[in-house]
Amino acid sequence: MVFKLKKFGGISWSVLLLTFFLLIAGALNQASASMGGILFKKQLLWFTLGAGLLLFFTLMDYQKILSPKLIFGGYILLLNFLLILVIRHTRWLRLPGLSIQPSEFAKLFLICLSALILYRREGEGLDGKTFLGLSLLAFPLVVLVALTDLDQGGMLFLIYLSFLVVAGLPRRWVVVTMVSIGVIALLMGPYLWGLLKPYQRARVEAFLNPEAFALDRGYQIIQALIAVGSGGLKGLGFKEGLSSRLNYLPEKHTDLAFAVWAEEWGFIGASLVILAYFFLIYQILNIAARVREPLGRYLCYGVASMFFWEVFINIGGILHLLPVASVPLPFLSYGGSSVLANMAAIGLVLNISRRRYSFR
Amino acid sequence: MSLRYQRVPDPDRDILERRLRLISLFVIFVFAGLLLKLFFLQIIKGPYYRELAQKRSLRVISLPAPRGNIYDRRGLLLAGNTPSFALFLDPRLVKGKKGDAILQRLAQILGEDFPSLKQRYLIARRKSAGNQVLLAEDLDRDVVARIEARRYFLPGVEIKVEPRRFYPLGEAAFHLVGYVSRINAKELQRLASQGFGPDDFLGRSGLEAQFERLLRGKKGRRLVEVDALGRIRRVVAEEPPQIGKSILLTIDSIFEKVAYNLLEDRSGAIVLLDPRDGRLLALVSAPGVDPHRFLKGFSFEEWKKITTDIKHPLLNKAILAYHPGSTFKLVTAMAALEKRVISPTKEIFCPGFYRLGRRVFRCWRSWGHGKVDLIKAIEVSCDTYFYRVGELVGIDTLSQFARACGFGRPTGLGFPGEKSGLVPDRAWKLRVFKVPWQKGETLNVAIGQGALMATPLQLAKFLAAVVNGGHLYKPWYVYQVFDPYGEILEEYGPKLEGNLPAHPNTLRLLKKGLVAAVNGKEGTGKAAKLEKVTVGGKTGTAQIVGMKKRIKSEKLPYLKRDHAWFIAYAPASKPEIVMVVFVEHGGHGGSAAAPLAGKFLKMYFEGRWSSS
Ligand SMILES: [Zn+2]
Repeated sequence: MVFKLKKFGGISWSVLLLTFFLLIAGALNQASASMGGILFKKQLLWFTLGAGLLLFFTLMDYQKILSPKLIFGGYILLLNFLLILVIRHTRWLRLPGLSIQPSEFAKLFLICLSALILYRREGEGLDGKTFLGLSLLAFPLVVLVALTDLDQGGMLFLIYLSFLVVAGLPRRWVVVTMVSIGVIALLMGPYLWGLLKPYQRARVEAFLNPEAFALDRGYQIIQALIAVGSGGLKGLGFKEGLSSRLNYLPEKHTDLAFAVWAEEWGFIGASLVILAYFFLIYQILNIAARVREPLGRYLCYGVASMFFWEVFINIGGILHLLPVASVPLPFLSYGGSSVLANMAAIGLVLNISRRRYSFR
Repeated sequence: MSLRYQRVPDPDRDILERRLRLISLFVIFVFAGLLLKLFFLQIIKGPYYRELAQKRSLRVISLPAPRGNIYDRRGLLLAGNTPSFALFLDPRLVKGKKGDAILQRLAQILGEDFPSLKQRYLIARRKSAGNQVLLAEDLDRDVVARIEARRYFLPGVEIKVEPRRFYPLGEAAFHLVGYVSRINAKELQRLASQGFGPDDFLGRSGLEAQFERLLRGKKGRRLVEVDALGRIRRVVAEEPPQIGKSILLTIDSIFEKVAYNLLEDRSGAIVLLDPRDGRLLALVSAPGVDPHRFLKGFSFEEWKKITTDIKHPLLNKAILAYHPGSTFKLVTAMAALEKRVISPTKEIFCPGFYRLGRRVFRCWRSWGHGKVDLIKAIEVSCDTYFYRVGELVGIDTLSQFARACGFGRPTGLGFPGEKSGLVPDRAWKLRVFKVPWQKGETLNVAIGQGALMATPLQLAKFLAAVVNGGHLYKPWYVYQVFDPYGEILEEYGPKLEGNLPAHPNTLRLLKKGLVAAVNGKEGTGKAAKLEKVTVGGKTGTAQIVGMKKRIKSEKLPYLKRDHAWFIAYAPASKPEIVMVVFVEHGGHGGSAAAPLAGKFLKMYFEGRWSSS
């Protein structure tokens, strides 16, 4: 008993509590969005399985388990799965009884791989070897995922960029990259625009002028804005959201789950959830800063960047700050793979947080 | 919360910590942005979006109010309602490719080809101005069942049960009862503020138009929540419709139907009055149109056929003015007797014509009637006699009497479209033609020709007064108005307009002449004679084209043939019914109009009704 309790000693209670709060919000939101239907029950099942995964990742010896061999082996396996998906032209790996979205797990693998590379390097700047290693490992993942799911591919790319930044991307590189992107966009813009698939173009056009595309992409933006806005200060009440109840919100279980939440719980509830995400990410970054174990701090940083981009892109899209992208909101969106991957990531953070004062 | 990083001695850590601190600042910045936008959307723009949400998901549905019923004096229905199924589409949901798919499914169910259905929908949508689009009416029950069964695949498609106007007598009572049809775009603009919608009906003619305000109910409203697919999820509030008021008439629907059928394919009118108080028993004009056809609307060809028909099915001939012909001789006779310009026993010789100055006025019987007195003149309808009497009376007196008998103005029935007719006199001639009155015109007026015009209804009103002792009643037909619960709201009775300017003795003589015209040996209205009941009556043959020689009507083209009149009452001793028969271009009154009166009165007094 004493031994087991000791194992929890020093974990970041704030991360655990914030996660718990978001899980409750997610459960309530699914209960409302699915009107007590099957998706709600399935999500609870995923939460339960996720809790087990969280416990496992909290208690395991990550330094041993996340050995380069194992991670690299898993990486090769994942690439194979992704290749199969590309060939089959689907985002889902269908197994009897459940379907898995490997792109969700690809994010975790990318984080682990990047962390391994960064922690093994010498010096603190981004040397050519590190850049090449990061890029070579990230590139196949990003491309393979993007082929079936452009938005998730984008997420992977953002996580990759985040690692470049924390690895110490020299300022002039940043400047050179920005300028060259700007020049390319200016010169090749129309050509690249033409290369985009119609639905991708429509997405940008809809962002710029939702009313003109009120039937397609714009419909989602307008309905999300109406749902969020009509929430007001106190919200319409649990299970009382007009947009959600009357099915005006498409994808209300997944991409637009936050709109359902904001409509029913108002500014009070919605800002609480946004603050919870903020503190969660902030705390994980804090752990990354405090922990004295290099692999752990890069892992934490990776998890924080993953949550950050998911939350920012999802909620930013709903609030019409960004074009809408189909990215799940951690814990609020329905989806087994997303729940499992996110809870494993939290478990990893909790695990690392136990070691923040310990030296190897 | 402040950033408290663990200070570690390792210089490598400082660099990484500095990066993480910068990144944390970026995270704070982004989340502050999210919160600000959230605040903007929910707090500042909250009321705006809440209104948008309600506009989007709350809908007011108007509930049609059934029109009131119209009953005849027996309580039989003349106009009522039956349930009808109408197909509506929501233009917000039926558009684009999805809309095409819905229309395609509908086309299959309705058995119509897709392009024509779509075209119909697009035209109807333009008219509906954003409201639900009416696509089809009067659906069969099995079509309704098939649509309902596929409801899930037909978002935005709605079947509404609507009360539909129903006219048991059909075209027989078309001109009396009138019809309703859908409101048009111009009227909608004018009436939208009164709660009218694009699918509402308006009373167009006859009673439906006259009593529009009474018959029309008040529409109800229902506030509902509608989901993204247009399905109603919940009723938030409801205001039930109010049924219109019903009307009980003095009309007898059996008389109405029998009289209409008597006219067969003729063009004409029949008016039946109770002379004792002026109540209308039937008002028929033929041909009629099936009023149900107006509910759906006509195709261009159908409408053209109706409007170009030389028998004018849309005109109510019972209230239009024509030359009254010899029926007007009663007025001439009345004026002559009252002004004592002639003694009833004074005989005038008819050689078949009457000479006034250099002009010759012909009697309808070219070889003349010989010596005729007043009674005989009415019986044989001798024109010569009345030329002479008319000349003696003069136009001033004659027009004065005609007006006193109810001519030249609406009867007071209040029927929409009723004509005044025309009683010409010197002032009228001067005003309209700027030339003085000619003496010869008086002679024409005296026999019901010239500029004189009267409606069948005016003649019925006049004859009723002649036979009831001189009481000129305004014809009336609304007996009671009551609400849907049977509560009587208004009740009406006879309205005496005045008395004929005639001594009872004068009226007695006129009646004697009327009886002679039907029962006399040479009576022109013999065709209306009955065995058991004494009928009185007067024929009329109104020339519509002046001809030097009298030619038999049957030999003329239809539109040049004379109008045939017969006005009758019975029983002579105690009159209870007055009948006016008018057959447009029917020829001679005695042969074209009187037999119809005879047939009707025979059935009336024998109580054996057959409508053929
Ligand atoms: Zn004569």
